[in-house]
Parts: sequence; C-alpha cells; structure tokens
Amino acid sequence: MDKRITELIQGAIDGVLSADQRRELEKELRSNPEASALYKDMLSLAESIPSLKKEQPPADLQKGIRDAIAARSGKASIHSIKTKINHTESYMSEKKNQTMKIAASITGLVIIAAVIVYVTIDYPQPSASDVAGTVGVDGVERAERYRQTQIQPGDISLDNAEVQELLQSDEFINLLETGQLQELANNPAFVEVMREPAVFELMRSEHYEVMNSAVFELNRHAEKAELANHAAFMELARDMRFIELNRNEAFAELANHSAYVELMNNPAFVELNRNAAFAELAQNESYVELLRNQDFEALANNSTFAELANHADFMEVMNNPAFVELMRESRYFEVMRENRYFEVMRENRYAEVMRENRYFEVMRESRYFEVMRNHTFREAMRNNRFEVLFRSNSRLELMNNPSFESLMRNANFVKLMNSSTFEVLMREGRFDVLKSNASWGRI
Amino acid sequence: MKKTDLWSILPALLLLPLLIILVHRPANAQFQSVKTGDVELLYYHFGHEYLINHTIRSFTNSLDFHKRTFGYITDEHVTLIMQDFGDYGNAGASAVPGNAILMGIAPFHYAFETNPANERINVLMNHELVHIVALDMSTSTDRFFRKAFSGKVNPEKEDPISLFYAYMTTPRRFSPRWYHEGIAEFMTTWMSGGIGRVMGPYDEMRFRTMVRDNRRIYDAVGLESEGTTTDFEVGSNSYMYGTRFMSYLAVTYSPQHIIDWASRSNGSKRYFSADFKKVFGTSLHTEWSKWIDFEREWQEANLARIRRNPVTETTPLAKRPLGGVSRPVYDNQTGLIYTAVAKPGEIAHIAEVNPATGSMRRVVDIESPALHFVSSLAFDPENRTIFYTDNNNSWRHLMAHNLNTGKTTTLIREVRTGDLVFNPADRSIWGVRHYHGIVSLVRIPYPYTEWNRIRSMPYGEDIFDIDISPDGKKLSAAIADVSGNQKLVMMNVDSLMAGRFSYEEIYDFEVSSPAAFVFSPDGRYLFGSTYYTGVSNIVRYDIEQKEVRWLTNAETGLFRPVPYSADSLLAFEYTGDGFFPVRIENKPAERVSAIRFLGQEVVERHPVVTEWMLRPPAPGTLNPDSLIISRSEYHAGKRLSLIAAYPIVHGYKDYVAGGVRLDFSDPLRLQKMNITAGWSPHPGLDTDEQFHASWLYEMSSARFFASYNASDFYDLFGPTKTSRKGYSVGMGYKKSLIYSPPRIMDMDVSLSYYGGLERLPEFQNITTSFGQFFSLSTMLSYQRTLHSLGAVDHEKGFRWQLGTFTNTIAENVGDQRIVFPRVYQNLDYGIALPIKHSSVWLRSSAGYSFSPVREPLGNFYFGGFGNNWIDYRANRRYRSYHTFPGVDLNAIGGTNFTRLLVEWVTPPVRFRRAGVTSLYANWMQLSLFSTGIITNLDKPVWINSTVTGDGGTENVRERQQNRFYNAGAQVDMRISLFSIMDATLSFGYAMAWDYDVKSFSSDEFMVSLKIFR
Repeated sequence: MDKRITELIQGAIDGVLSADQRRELEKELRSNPEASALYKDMLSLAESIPSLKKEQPPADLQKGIRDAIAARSGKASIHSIKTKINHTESYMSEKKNQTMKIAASITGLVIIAAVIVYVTIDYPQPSASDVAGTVGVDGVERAERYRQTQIQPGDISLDNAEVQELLQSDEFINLLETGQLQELANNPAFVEVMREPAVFELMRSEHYEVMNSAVFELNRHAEKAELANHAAFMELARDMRFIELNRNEAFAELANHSAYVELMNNPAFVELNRNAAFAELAQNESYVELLRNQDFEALANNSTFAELANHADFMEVMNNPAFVELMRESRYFEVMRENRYFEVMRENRYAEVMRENRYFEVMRESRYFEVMRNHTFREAMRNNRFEVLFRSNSRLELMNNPSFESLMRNANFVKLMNSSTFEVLMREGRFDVLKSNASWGRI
Repeated sequence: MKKTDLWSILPALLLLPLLIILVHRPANAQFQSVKTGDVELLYYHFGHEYLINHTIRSFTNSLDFHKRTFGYITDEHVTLIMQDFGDYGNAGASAVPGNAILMGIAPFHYAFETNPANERINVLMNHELVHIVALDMSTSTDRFFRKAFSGKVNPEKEDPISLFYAYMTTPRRFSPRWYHEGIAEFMTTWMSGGIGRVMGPYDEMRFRTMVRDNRRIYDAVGLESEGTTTDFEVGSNSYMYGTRFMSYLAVTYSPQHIIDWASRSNGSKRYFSADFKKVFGTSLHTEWSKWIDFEREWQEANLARIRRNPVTETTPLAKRPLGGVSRPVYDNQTGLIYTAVAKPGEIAHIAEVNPATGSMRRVVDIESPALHFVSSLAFDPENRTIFYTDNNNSWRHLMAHNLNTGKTTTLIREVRTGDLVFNPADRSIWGVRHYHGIVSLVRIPYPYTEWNRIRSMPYGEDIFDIDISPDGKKLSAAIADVSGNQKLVMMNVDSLMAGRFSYEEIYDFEVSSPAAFVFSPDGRYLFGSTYYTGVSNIVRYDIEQKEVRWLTNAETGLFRPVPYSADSLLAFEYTGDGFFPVRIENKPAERVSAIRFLGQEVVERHPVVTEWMLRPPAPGTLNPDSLIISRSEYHAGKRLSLIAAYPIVHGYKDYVAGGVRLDFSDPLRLQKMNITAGWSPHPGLDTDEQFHASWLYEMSSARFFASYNASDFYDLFGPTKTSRKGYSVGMGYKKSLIYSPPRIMDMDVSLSYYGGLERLPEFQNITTSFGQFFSLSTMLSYQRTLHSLGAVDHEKGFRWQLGTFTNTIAENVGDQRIVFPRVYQNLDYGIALPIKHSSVWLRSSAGYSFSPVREPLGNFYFGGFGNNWIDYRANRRYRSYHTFPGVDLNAIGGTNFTRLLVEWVTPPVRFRRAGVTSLYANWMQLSLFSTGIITNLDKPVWINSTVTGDGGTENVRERQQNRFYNAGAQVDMRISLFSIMDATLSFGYAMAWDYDVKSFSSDEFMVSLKIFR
C-alpha cells in the first residue's frame, strides 16, 4: 500500500491530520477497499487501547526494584565520584574492571526499567486514550471530533441567485422603501416602458442626463408631449441644421418674441420663409438696413424684392403689424442671416410643425434651448433609441407622472437601470419584485 | 316569553356573505405554491425563489432517509413555509392538524458556537423532518382514530375534550420538548456527518461546568419545570439535555434503540415514557439517573485531562455572573466595561461594569434581547456613544445611547444588521446584514441615517464577528462556508470601499469557529477564542509574525476577549449562571489540554452512525423538475377543508348539551372555520332552547360569527355563564397597527346583532330590557411591557386600552332610535422590583356611559373574581376592569366609574420535582391586590325620595353612588399535563367593603383550574 495512505491513516487515528489531509483520506477510503480495511483495523485497535486494564505489579516487586536501585546505584555513584575527583586509586584489575562494566550496564538497565515502571505506574500521566490523536500545534492538543466530508458549494444549485446581488443592494432597497417603485409597478405604462430595451440602453448612455432632461422638458405638459410625438417634429429635432439653429441665442430670443410667434402662425409668413428669394433678400444687408429705416424706395431697385413684391404672401406679411414690429428687432435679422434657418424653413415636413402653437410653447422654455445647445444632446438626437423612447405612447403617459419623473432623476434608479439583472427581470415581466418592500414580509 | 323568530335573523344571515366579500381583499403577501408528491412549498417573496429547488432537493433527500431509517410511511404531504421574519435562521415543525414546517431562511448565529455552520437548509430539513416523523408516525390504532375524527385533532381550548382526541390521534405530541429536540439533534448530527450538537463543544462545556461547580443536573421533570426557566440557558436546556441523554443512550445501548424509541410503530406504547420502558427495558427515571452518574464521570475525566496542564488563573472583575453577554466594549478613558446582559429575573440591559470595584450599573434596557449574545455592541469613545441592536429576535433596529447625555435614539429601524463595529477613522459603523438569506457586509456612515452595502456573500457563505483596526485600515472577520469550515480573514478597508472584495486568510481553525477576534490597541495582534481543543480558549494572532499562540488553558471556557492593559485582557468565563467578566494575562500558555467529546465516543463505539450521513442534495442526484408537479398561487379560501370532526359536550344554562364540532382550515391556517351544533333535550328547557349552534369564520384580520342559543363547555363548571338564550350574528376586524414587540398596538372592531336575549351578552346576571339590538364595540390598545428570562408574567412597562360599546336598539321607540354608548379606558403601569421576577403594578380604569342609570344596556357592571372552576380565559381575572373580587358578579353598576387596583406580584416558587413526567407542577406565585371603585361619580351617594303606596307615603333613601374597596390574594400554580398542556390552578380570596355602609362587608373564595395556557 502507498506509504502516503498509511501515514494518513496513522495521522487520522492520532488525530493530527489537517482539514485537507482528512479530506484526502476520506476520498481514498471511499475508493480504496484495502485502505478502508486497514483504517478500520487500526481504528479498532486504537479503540481497544483505552479499554485495556492497567495491570498492577506485585507490591513487593516494586519495592524490591527500588531497593535494588538505591543500593546498587548508590555504590556505583560513590565509586565513580571517587574515581573522578580524587584520582587516588591507581587502577583496578581487568577482571574487576570487567565486572564493574557489567554491573554498570545492569545498573543502567535497571534504572531505565525502574523509570519506565515508575512512569507507567505512579506518575499522573493521562491514559493513552487521553492523548491519542490530540497533539496539535505548539503544545496545544487538538480535540478529536469526527467529521465526514461535507457538502461542497458545487452540491448546492440555486436558481437565479445572481438576482440577490440586485435585491441586496442599498440602492434597490432604498428605492423600494420610497414606495415609488411599488406605485409604478402597478402602472401599465411603466410596465411597458420598462420592457423596452431602449430605456436601459439610454440610461446607460453617457448622454443620459441630458436626454433625460430634454425628455422631461419637452413633456412637461400634455400639449408638448403631443408635439414630441409628432413625427415631423422628431425629424426636425434630429435635423442637425435645426439643432445648430437652436444654438443660436438670437433664435432663442426670437422664439420668445410674441410678434414672431404671431407671424409663425400666419401661413403667409411661413410660406414666405420658405421662399428662396426671401431668404436671399433677408440675408441682404441693404435690405435689412432698408427695412430698419423703413425706406422702401430703394427696394424698388432690388430685383429680388421686385420678384417678391409680386408675391401675395409677401405683401400680406409686409402689411402685418407684427412683421413691422419684428423688423425693428436686430435679433430677427441676425437669424435671417443664417442659411440654416431658411433651409429648415423650406422643408415641407417642418412647415406643419412651425405653425403649431405648442411648438412655440416649447421654444419659450429657456431650458429647452439649454438642452438643444448641449453637445451631448446633439449626439443623443442621432440615436435611434432615443426616438423610440421619445415617441412611445407609454412614455408620454409616464412623463406626466411625478413619481416617474422623480424616479428618473433618482441616482439610485439610474444605478439600478445599469444592472443587467434588473433589465432581465423587467424584460421577463417580474414586476412583483418591485411590489415588494422591506416590510412586506410581515404577515 | 317571546320565542325566537328565526325569520327575523334571515336578513342578517343574508348580509354576511356580502360582508365577507367586502372584507376579503387580497392579502398583502400573496403566497406562491410549489408542489411535489411529498411537499408543498409556500413562499411569499420573489427574493426567496432562488432557494426553492435547493430546498426541495434537501427536503426530498432528508425525507427519503427518514422513510428508510424510521420506516416512516405517509401519504400526507408536508406544508413547508419559507419565511424571512427574523435576522437569524430557525425553524419549527408541527404535525397537527397537518404536517407543517415553518422555515426561516436567515443564517444562523454562531455566538459561542451554539449553532452549526454548515449549509443550513440541509440542516433544517434534517432536523425538522425528525420532528415530523416523531410526531406524525402512527400505529394502525392511531390511524383508526384519525379516520374516525376526520384528521389529527388539534386541542382547542373552547372544547377541551379535544385533548383526549388529540392524544388518540397523535400521542407523541404529548411528549416533552427535550425528547423531540434530543432525537432531532442526535439524528441531525450524524446526518450532517458529525456537525451538530452531539459533537458540540458548547454542550460539553455546559455539563463540564455543572460537574466542576457541583451543580444540579436536572432530572427529566426538574428540567422542564425549573431548568428551562430559572437557568440563563432557559429553553436551550431542552436541546442540550435532550441531546446529551440521547448520546448517552446511544453509547450505552445503541443508536438503533433511539430510532426504535422515536418510531411510533405497531406494538409501540402510546406515551413516550411508557415506550421508553418497552424499548430499553428500564424506566425513564432510572435511566436518567444513570445518565447523570455517567455524565459526572465523563466530565470528571475531561476536567482531569484539562488539569494535566496548568489551568489558567483568572481574576474576577464583577461580583456575580452576568448571564448571556454581548461583545463587550472597554472605555479606556473611564476604565469601565460595557456589555449587554440577559439573565433570569432581570430585564435585559446594557450594563456598565467597574472592574476596579466589581460594581454594576444599568445603562439602558434592551427590549428584545437574543438568547446567549443578547445584542450587538459598538462604541464610539470620542463621543461616548454606545451603538447597539434591539428587536434582536426579529428585524433588528440600530440604536444609540449617549453615555454623557443618557439619551437613547433609534437610528435606523429594521436595519437587520448586527455584528456592529465602530471605525474610529471616519465614525462609520460597519456591520453584517441578513436579508433574504444572504449575508452582506454593510457600512453605516455618520450620521447613521442610511446604510451602504459593501459586499453580499454568496448563499451559504457567512461573515461574522468583524472588527476594525484602530487606524481604520484593516477589517478582520470570520468566514464560514457551506461545508462548515471557518477561517479568520483580514481585509483592507480602502479596497472594500472601492468595491474590491478580497481577503487574506489568516488562520484556518478547521471545524472550530474563530470567535470574536478583536484588534489590540496597537493593531499588532488579534485576540479571539476557539474551541480547537474542545474547550474555548483565548488565542492571540501576531499579524506581523503570522503566528497564533494560545493564551489560556481553561476549565470551562473563555470568550470574547478585549485588550484591557498591555499585559492583560478582559474575557468572559463561562459559569453555570452565565458569563463572568474576568481578567487574564496576555501571556502564552505552555501546554493546552484537549477534552474528549461524548459524540466521539458514540461514533467510535457505534460506527454505524457514520453511515447515516446524507449524500449532498446535489442537482445531479435529485432533479426538482422531475419532482415538481405544480406551481400556482396559494388561495387560502379555495384550500379550506375539513380537518377534524368530533363529539363535544357543552353547558347551556344549568343543563348539559351534547353535540358535534367541525373544524375547517387551509394548510397555512390563514382561514379557519368551526361549526358546533348541540342538543340539550332537558324537560326544563323550552323546545326552542334545546338546539344550540355556533359558527366562527376567521380570515386574515376579519372574523364572522353567529350563534343560536349559544352553549359553552365551561358553563358546566362554576358561576360564570357565557351561554345565552337567543341568537347573535356579527363580524369583527382586528389589526395590529404596530407590531414590534414589546411595542404592540392593536385595534379591534366588532359589530353584532342580538335577538331573543334574556340576559345581557356581557353580564350574565343582568336582565336585558330590549330583546333585539345592535352592539358595536371598538378597542384600541397599546402596550410596551417587558419581562426577564424565565419570567412567568410581564414585569414592567405599561399597557393602555381605550374601548367603546354602543348598543343600539333594533326597533325605534316612538320616533326615536335609542342608542346607549359607553366608553372606557384602562391604564396599567408596572415596575420591576429588585427581587427576582417580582413587580408592583398600578392598574387604573375609568368609564362613562351616555345612558340613563336605569337602562341596563347603558351601564357598566362589576363584581367577582370572574373565574370558573374550570376555565380557559385569563387566570388573573381580578385585573380586568369589570371584576371586583369580594362581591357578587355584576353586583356593582353605574353609568360611569373609576377603578384603581394596586398589585404586588411576589417572586414565583419553582418546583424542582413535584410530580411525574405526565403531570408535574412548574411554579407557584402569590399576588396580593387591593382595589377601590366608585361608580356614578356625578351623583350623590344617597337621595331621599317619597314613595306613595297602599300603606301611605313613605320616605325612601335610595343609593345612587357606589363606593367599594377590597383586598385579596390569589395563588396561581402552573401545572404541566402530558408535557405539552399547561394548566393553572388558582386559589383566590378577597374581602370587599362598602365605604358608605360600614356594616357591609362580603368575601369571596375562588378556585379555578385554567386549562390551556
């Protein structure tokens, strides 16, 4: 048999195996019948030792040995000392010397035997069973405690245990304790939105914060929410020219100007804005000056103006007091100088948007322009997912839910949305997880 | 006499289903059901789903073993309820009316190594299914009775005859706790391959200490009557004694004898002690005595082993043992020690111990202490604030007590975090949180309003006994894995804060726990304790040298060391009365002795127990998918079924009625219904009074009830009668507004309709003036009462109740609807005396009725002790506001009143041995009381009036106001019958005096046996 196994068995009987060694042995015993038999034999032998009775020697034997030791060792010692110290005795005869050697040997053996007997009989040592298998480290005895190979982590198969990483997090629990998640979990719109992968993708985006702000700003009221759902507006919002235009502070101011708003509600003005000639004219410095000076005579020499003059819309606009008022605004002309403005205006699909009151309501929001000017927003607007989110009916419904708005601005929720486990749960429709809270278990 | 018109109650009966529908709303927690052929697992939380398959595997694995080993055959499935109601894992099992296990999924606590550290669901299934087998296993006779009574009968206090039926259907339920726990712990140890109480060092220490100190080892009766109450180990003594006795039996006879004793097979005796004689051939009493002798011999041998090497000397730092103790904290500035303590006779509290004088001071009460470790403590020395946990048996709160101001604050409720430690570097508190069965290391930053999760451990891996180095850079901890292996580890706090969880393994103590390791003030050492030698000794770990040295060779056990000075440590030494603070030298011991475990003796003499180890419930061996037969929502209403039907005997007025009782319930007992019907064919009763029926349906917080000529078992005995002629129908709603023991706030609303009554429902001696009326009663109550370990009653605190009764006559009188509203309140306040388990209470009551004095429906009535000869209601009925011992029942009346009772509850006398295993006395307690009452305070005591009669005009003096006082005493003696049923025999005597009629006095003697607790 392998010496190693024999040593392990001996070690197990003595109780000195480490945990690893014990495991190794247990494995061996299960697979090796020979080793198992040896172990049982040795264990049986070790078990029988404590039950052996201590045989007491006859009383006179012990006394006799002690007397003999005292008598013989005493003489020998004296002789020896004398020899060493005094150096007075010359030498002894060879025979005597030999006799002495034999006597010394016998004396030595007797002493050893006596010590053994004494230690065995009189010295208060623990019995074999007391010490067997209990010697540990540095004089520390290890108690023998039977233990079989235990269940291992691999023996435990859990289901979706990874979800605990989410459930245990303080962010998740804090959110539950606010009650917002519970409330929203009962809201079908929330359920639908949370099943949308785009939501998670967006919330993990570096543009999330800006987009989130934009979404809420554009959806603060129902009317604006409708606008956001307007396909044309979405296209407009994603048009880089429009985005750039929105970066223009003058445009922002203009959008807040009542005269401009009024004019934009005038189809003629919108039509005029779409006219290339008007665009050309509007960008003509002389024209601008002229309009400001209200010196219309010079305009007559201007062929573009002449062309426009025949245009009914133009004339209608020119006669509109609001336009006259707008003419006095330097900001208007500043915007007019932007090619982008007219390019945008010329797009049929945007024209409808431009005429909508709610468009201007949005435009009047200072925060709107703040968002529109943001670089990351511009990047975000290019994201198709954003549009999905932006146009979802469920989202529109949710946007007006204060709990949802507060949730979307909650840092804990943002962290939660970054959890793939949470995303999986939401996609699987496990909204019961959101309905639970810390005290829900109390029945 | 007007006969009851059944048709008149028809509208009310029709109204009931509607009320049921209105009240029946979906429960807050919807249980989900997963069924196999053997078990129906019920759970209520998504967060517990991850354990379902593992639980089913563990259950099936364990049940298969029990079926093989005990020959257990059943066609009844076990209802297994998974819950997370507490921060520490536990479980309970019952076989009546159905087999059920309530399993807590939280991790165990490892304080003093009183629990195993191996995978707990496996352990719980092994343990609880032993209970199911031992309780449910039946002979053919048992099964006959189960069939006859339609199930296993649960003893119902309203019908105590059910006790007899319960004994006939599940006789082994009538066995003491030590019997059931002993068998379960014995089997669990071997099923877990040697991890368990049989091999437990705490139990060895417990008995070694008793032998060393020459303390009493209880006999089987004394254990239950005194051992589980006066000892600081209280109920855990049942586990320790039971396991020890079983181990002894296994060594002396064989493990198979224990199996045979636990098996209720054909030919076995019904009562557990009778069956003991049959299996072992000797009486339980005789064998128990032999075990005590054996135990003394065994422990003497262990003490001799320990004494082979020099035993560590300790210096006491207090005058008496402290009972159970928490981790102590030492205030360097003042030299005082703080620790949470709990011992019998004292309300648990944080104690300040002065090691110089040994004196102790109560700092702050702990309302809900845990057994053994009491609470978790941390200390901020700069601000002299102790952080501790309360509500320790449920979801723990984080509390703070400032030693300078004496102010106590609840920082975070239900934080579910313990093992607290203070980080002086940033004033944060670190702790270990238990939630959904998962252990998380958490940090609670100053100002302690929120917590942050640092790391959640995988299921089955536990982290405990953490400490933080004085510089706040290192965190030490003990980590246990599913195998039960435990190691001491060290972590870097900065890394943890950065989200990187890794640790350095310092030392592997193998099967022993590295317990309560703490840093030395210089951060160079860690001090802790371990049972490596079988005895808990203090060890020192040199962090730089990476070296462990044993500092002690203790006889009993030393725990929870804290550096005290450069060359000494504070530690707790185990004694029979709890832990004792001592000082030990910070010096390595030369040699440290090991002891021998009784469990080791079992395994060496009877290696068969090694074959009882269960194979792991691994997915490869048990596939839940093939076992699961259904998954669905659990609807209690749909699961309502008949669980028992049996004959009953009731009293109606002064007559005997025979009948039948039907009990219905769902497996979770969320909804219960019982119906009784009886007949008393006595010529003295009108025929319409001879039939009796009652119906009670309880669901969640609501209850519905109806009765017809209500009868009552207890009316057969004694003066108090609750049976009434007539009918009633009603509904009630009870809800806990606050449930955070000991703080409990309840509300209860009840609406009843009574018809055909002769006497008032509440007052048997008062004839009603209206036969049909509605009665609305409401009750709002709040209590915060505390008691110490081993108490027989609450010992301090207060209780407040506000109640109303509104009786409305069903028919208008003239054009008016007559309403009699009454309102009353009770306020009790008690203080614990310095004498063990003794307290003084003031109980005050006051009430007011908005009704005429002459109308019985609008009055309050008082009188009598109120106890029946045989009773099931509260035995100390003299405390109730409507009683007044010394005068007849309902003798004092009035539309308003005030009542004050002063009560002294004297210390209970415990009986060490008074009886036999089937009937013995536990304790006896004397209460002395005196009450004063005034009714009709708004009226003069007497009024003079003139009455004109046949004899002419007469001046009459009529009593208006009543002023009475009394003095009395009551002795209550708790009796245990058939091990599980508690009864209280009470004797009372009181004398009452009329304050205004000096010549009047009356007395009353009361004797009552209250059955059921």
